[in-house]
Amino acid sequence: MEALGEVYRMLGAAMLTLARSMLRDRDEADDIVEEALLRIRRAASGFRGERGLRTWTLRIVANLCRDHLRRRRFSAGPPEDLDPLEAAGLRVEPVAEWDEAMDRRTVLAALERAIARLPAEQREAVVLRDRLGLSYEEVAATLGVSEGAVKSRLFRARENLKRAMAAWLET
Amino acid sequence: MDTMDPRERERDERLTRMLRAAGAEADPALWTRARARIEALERTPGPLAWLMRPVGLAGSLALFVAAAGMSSALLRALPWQQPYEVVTLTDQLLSEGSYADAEPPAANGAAPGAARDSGGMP
Repeated sequence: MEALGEVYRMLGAAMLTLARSMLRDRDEADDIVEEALLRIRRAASGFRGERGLRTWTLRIVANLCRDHLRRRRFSAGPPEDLDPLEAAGLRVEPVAEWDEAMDRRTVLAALERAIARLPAEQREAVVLRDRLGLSYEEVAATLGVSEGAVKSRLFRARENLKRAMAAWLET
Repeated sequence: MDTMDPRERERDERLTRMLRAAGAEADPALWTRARARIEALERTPGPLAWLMRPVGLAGSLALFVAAAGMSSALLRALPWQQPYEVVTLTDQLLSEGSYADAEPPAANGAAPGAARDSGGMP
């Protein structure tokens, strides 16, 4: 149990960031992370460390999020008019060189809505690579696809996001 | 060699900064909840824990239904004999009456099959 607590201390923030960015619902995301911890506990004896603890853990969270999104296809999902940062339970970090004239919350809310509109496979790639800072190799191992597929998903995701955020990226 | 034009690179970097700007912190309450759930699960005896799992429960139910169906089919297929004949009181009385008509029982200790006493002197 102590080892699992250590895993949560080390990777809890990344697990929650991934689940909350993917699902945009704080309660659902927290349930997913809780379930992931249970699975990690059950599967701990099978962990061989080939892919690294972070990749292995985030893969469990990503798979649970994917299953959840598949089930959610038949429900309405979170309403569009909700503040996506508030609903997802994401906090805004101070950004260096951030244009002070920009309303950070408005911009980041628009970005979260744009991320939510991405297909799930592009969304998970962009969250893992750009939000959590994983390498291409780690993203590929987490998602169980080739590095080429990761680069292609990421390129398409970023093009979509740039289009959606054009007004704020030009300033 | 990087062929991206500087303006495009600037937009790209700005997007990356925006993406990195939101995140979540590890919530201690979530760990407390998860630990309590794990401990509760581990305190439950193995077979009971297995039964509590939805797949286990569904599997047990399916086994129960299959066993009940097979027993019922077997019971129906066996050549059953009733342990006694069901007879109404009327049937029983009528059947006893027909015995009485057929041959009255020997009286006064006479041996069965002995000649009937005519009542005359010897």
